[in-house]
Amino acid sequence: MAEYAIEIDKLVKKFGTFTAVNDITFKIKKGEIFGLLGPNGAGKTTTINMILGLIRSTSGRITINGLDIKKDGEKIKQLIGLMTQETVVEGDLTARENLEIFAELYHVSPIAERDKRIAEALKESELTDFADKKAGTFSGGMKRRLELVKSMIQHPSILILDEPTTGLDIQNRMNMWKHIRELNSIGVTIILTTQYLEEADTLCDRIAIIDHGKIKAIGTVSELKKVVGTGRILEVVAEDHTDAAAVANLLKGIFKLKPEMKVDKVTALVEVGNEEKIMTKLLAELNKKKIKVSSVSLHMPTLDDVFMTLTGSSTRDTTHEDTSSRMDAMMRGGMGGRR
Amino acid sequence: MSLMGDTFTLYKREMLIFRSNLRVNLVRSIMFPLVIILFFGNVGSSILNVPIAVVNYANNPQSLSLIGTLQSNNYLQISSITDQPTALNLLKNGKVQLVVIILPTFPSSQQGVPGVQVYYSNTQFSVTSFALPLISSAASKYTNNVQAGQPGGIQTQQNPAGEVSSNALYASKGSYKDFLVGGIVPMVVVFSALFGGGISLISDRQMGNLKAFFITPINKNAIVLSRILSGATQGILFAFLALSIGILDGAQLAGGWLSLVYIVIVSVILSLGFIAIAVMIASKIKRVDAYAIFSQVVGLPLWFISGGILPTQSLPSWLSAVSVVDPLTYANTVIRAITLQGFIPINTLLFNLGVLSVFAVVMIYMSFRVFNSSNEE
Repeated sequence: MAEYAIEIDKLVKKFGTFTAVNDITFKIKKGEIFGLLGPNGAGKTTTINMILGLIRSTSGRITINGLDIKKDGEKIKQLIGLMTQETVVEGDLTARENLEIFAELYHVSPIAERDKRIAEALKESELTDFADKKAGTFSGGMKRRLELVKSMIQHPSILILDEPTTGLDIQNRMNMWKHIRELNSIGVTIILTTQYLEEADTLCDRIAIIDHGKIKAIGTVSELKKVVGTGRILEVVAEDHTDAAAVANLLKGIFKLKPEMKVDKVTALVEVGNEEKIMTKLLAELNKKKIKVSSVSLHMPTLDDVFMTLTGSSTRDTTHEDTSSRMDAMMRGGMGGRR
Repeated sequence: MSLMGDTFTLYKREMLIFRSNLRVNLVRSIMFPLVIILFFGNVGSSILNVPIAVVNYANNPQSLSLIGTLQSNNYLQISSITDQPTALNLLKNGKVQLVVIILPTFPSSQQGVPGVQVYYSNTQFSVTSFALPLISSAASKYTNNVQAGQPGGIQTQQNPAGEVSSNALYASKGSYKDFLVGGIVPMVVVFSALFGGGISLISDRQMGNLKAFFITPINKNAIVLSRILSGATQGILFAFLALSIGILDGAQLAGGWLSLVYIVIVSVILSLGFIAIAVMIASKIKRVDAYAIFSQVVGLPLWFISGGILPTQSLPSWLSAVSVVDPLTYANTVIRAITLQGFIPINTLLFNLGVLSVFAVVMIYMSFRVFNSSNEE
């Protein structure tokens, strides 16, 4: 048995002249929950589509459970389950029919086995009582649960979750996290993409941050946080956003920091040991300059900071405005926990 | 993997979805034929250029003059002046709709002795309603001339009963409604194929269902094939509904039950071909609204030039040449012959079904190619 669930070696995908995935190499261990993070257009979906066999790589190798994707495509398809951000249960069919069709497409046989799996799936998703109701009448949470058990009907050893909790309320999201952990505990390797960074922080064993088709960093959450540095993050929120520039100038001029500005919020990395002195002095300076602030805080780097540092907004603003503004939305989503 | 097994699973899915929206699907499918049959079937309509053959036994100045009169008429087109067996053979094979036989007795003024005999096949509704009265009145003029030359003539009837005797050899009642109902069937089949097949494919792509199918270990052709088969099933159902509306409204099928058999065969082949076309268009066009317009643009002209609402003979010649490449023309020929004439020569049947089958097979093959190439990168 292979040690790794997925091995990706020097993978490249070009669409015409555009390189979506640019020579990436990483391995996902069996039984891991692996997070794949990156701004929109970074190459996450392209990578996943190649793993799923939906598109062919330009060059490089993908090995799944020791099987080469180019040679054993059919076998590999039985090993991978996918749940996407769109809910793809068929609303005109009942929950049971939805499961039945996919069990048959995955060639689950004989019929007794198929029916057993469907019964189990309905039970797991707590939809037994609604088995013969049309899925179109279900609530969002019920559809997601049906979707999850539908992706698992062929009993795959790898489950790819593409933004599984997008658009779910907090109860349903917690519920989904519980299901993901349960699946992982019975040995299913999970690959997760998400726009909620705290979701990746809580669930994932390891995370790869991908941008411009390249892997920027890979490791456990705490390993990644070291990328930002050993310092603390100083965050000042101006009461009036027109004062934010003044705050930034202050940090640059007096404290020799490298502040980053986001509307009314100014952040900067502060060396450990220096932070208390800076705090006191900053408050005094703000008072002297009569700049009103609504909050001043100092915290450990979060995954948000890691993400921000690695995918960098300053360079992006000038070249890819569209992508970066989408990324901003994503960042806000990560911090506030909702969009 | 197993193409047939996967096709069956996806066929089942399509039909379950269809059943789940049964009422909407049925109402949608009958609205169009209902309006067309009930409205257009019940208004009068005239047709130009009914092809006829003439047999001239009289061969006198009056008979030649009669031929001249018929020739100059816009409603009739003399395609052949020949002997009687040849003329009747042309009629049998559908080359002409009507045979005018000018008997040696022409111009006859005697009661009970006809001067002109007409054989007709009522595959065009216009024969009984337009052609027969025209020939009658043209022929009766010569009788009147004869009468004028005979003082104290026997007949004073304006339209002497003895002048023209007509015999329907192959015919239904021959109304425009009968004609129209035959043309509605291919239309319903084609439109249900173009709409149903393509739009469901596009919405499946938008909803992510196609992606979900692609990651399963199925044969990709099963996705296309299942859609073609389920579309054909639905097309036949819709064709029967349209036919029922027509029959309830009083249309007649000259071929009786045999008409239904032929209609099913033609509908199946036709819808297989047209859903394949729908799959190809839907593989290239990613938006439902654009698709809807495009399919109308393809479907309506094909239907119009195929002789669905008007006989192809009445089209301008350049357009009737175009109708040769329209698969609907061949479907209409078979359906018209069986529903109006009640009879179709075996070579005509085989030729038309052959053309349709080749069309369907080529389209299905191309739809596999186009669908697969549009989903690969």
